[in-house]
Amino acid sequence: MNAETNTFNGNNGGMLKVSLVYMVVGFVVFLLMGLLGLLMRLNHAGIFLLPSDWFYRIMTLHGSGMVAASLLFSMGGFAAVLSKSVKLSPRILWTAFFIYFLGAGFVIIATLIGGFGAGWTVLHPLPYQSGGAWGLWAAIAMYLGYLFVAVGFLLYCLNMLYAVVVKYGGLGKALAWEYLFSGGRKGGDNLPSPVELVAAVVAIDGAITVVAGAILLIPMFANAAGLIEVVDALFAKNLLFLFGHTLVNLNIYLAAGLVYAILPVYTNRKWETKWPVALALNLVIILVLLPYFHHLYQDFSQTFFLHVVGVIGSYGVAIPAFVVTIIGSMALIYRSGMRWAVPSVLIALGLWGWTFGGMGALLDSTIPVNQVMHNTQWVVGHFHTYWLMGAVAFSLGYMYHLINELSHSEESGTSRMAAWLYGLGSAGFVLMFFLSGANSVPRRYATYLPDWHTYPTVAVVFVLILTVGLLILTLEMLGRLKGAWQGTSG
Amino acid sequence: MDGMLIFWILIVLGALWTVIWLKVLGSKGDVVPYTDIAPKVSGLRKQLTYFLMVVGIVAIALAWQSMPYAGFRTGVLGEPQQTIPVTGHQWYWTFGEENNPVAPEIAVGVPVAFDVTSADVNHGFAIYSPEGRIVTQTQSMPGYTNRLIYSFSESGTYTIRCLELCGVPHDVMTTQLVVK
Ligand code: HEM
Ligand SMILES: [Cu+2]
Ligand SMILES: [Cu+2]
Repeated sequence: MNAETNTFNGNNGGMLKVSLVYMVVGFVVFLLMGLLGLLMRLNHAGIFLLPSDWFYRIMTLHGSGMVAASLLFSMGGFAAVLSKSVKLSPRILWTAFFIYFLGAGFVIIATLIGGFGAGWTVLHPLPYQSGGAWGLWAAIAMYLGYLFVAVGFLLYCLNMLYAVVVKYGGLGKALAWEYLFSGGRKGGDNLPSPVELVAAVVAIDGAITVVAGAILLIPMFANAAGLIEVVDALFAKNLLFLFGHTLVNLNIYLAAGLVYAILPVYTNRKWETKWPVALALNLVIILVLLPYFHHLYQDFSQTFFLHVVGVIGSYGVAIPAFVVTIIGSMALIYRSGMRWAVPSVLIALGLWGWTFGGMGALLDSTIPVNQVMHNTQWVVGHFHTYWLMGAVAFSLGYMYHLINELSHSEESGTSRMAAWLYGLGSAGFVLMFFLSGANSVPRRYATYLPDWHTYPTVAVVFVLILTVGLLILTLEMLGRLKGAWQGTSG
Repeated sequence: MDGMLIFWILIVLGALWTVIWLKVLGSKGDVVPYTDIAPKVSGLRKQLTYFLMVVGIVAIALAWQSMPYAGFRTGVLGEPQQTIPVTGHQWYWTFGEENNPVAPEIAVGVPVAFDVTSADVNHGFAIYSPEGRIVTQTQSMPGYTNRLIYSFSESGTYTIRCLELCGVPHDVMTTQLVVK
């Protein structure tokens, strides 16, 4: 591989070390949380029954743990890619990592010791009114966990933003505004790369998201301290989803940024910042903040106008992502003679799955459909597709690529097979969620009616297939990790 | 809206998408320089953008006919003939005012309004048909009353399920609704 495709550029070794730690920790937590997911499906299938309180504790830990793990996984990969062209600070990213990790610790204590089981969405006022299942302190521990994770993410975002703004001499330049607003006629000589554009966009939205989270936490803590009597349930829900929905979306954008970085390696074609790319990413800054309203369609008291914003935002944000990133990636692959390798398999799977999950999401963002799908397993189906066959697939593809590159390893036919198995298992697993949602099976039910057992039973088989694929890839990477670590020193 | 119809729409879209991908991946061997591809892509992007916008507008127009909100449902079904206050509690449902409970019985084919609220945390008020499918739902929220209007076209025993996580016994927070 030539220097152009190498992530290591001779002086970003310190950054690559941080990135590897982010990715490895993110990936390991993903595996552990996946086991909890399997446990829940076994419970649903009636094969291994969990007591209800444990089901909800596990569900809450799985949900928040996965969100944090997958985000960390993509943060690490993205930082590695970005560090090739801009100067990130390993020290800040280590700090962010420890704060983030501290947050994860609080979440583990809240759920496994404190018994907290209000779901990863911690919908107010349930955390404070569990009816005796957990105490106030567990809810506070959960919120503190979120606070630390958010602060860690904020640090990461600010570091990225600072780095690209410094490189281009201003925020407007880092977002290619001159080029954008002149219709591509001016300012085309010193354009940020797609990866750098993504960095700026995610950093801005990341900061907004964290502020939304903070605005919510203030009344939450004040409420717990008895300073205010009630916090409006609708207000809390709005801020919560502005925070939660946007955060998980940013995870996908970061992971998609990895596609920009590795597709060129396998297709021998370049991703360049063309005008549509600049437009799409600038639109995303606003558009990504709007779809969260679709979580509140069944809250009839919400102003009707905001429901409409939810529909338009949900449809609207899909267009730039699809037309620019997905079509652009497909164009890169089309008749390129792309090399089949684990990363390219995972990226193809990810691009397929990101869109398929998006189709499920768009259907459900349509209010009359949501009327019968809201809080059914359909919802769980679409976001597992996004993640398993989107964000995680991209991050995993990138990690595999980086480890092989740094350790100068080659892959085998077995590893490609394993990547396809991962895709097959994931697809069957998520399809069972969609099918059960279509049959009105609720999400977040600890106990299932006998009628509902078939879906999770079939899902378990697919989870096992996915596990085999993951296991092979994990073992392979494990053996190369040491070489990769040494590779960061040149 | 029938959930299985939506499922099949998803499957058809997914199958189309898979066919497109197989074409893209299958083209790998037949290599051309990117400069041959790039101009076509920008045309395709424009067309796709317009196409998707039209699809979106059509979807919104279609959806407008079947919005679940009270004003829309009244427009379609007429003024409700019966009003039933519903309150979610951890972990049971009550019908009627606090000191004036009513039986959850409804006449078939008549628009009825459920005024749904909660006495404690958020709950979800979902009505399942005797066959086990959601026919309609709204959130049950503390501090707010959501008016859900519906007209049952078939008699039978319907099941109310709580669809918003409301504590450990969330999944047993069910009750029955008789339509005759
Ligand atoms: C590895 C395979 C996985 C399995 C077997 C699995 C399984 C499950 C199951 C059974 C549920 C509960 C669904 C319900 O009844 O409501 C669930 C919920 C959830 N999962 Fe997964 N999952 C997996 C991967 C992931 C990934 C990769 C992510 C995100 C990165 C994720 C995020 C979530 C979230 C956010 C929830 C919702 C929790 C809540 O309702 O509070 N899962 N998962
Ligand atoms: Cu409830
Ligand atoms: Cu409930």
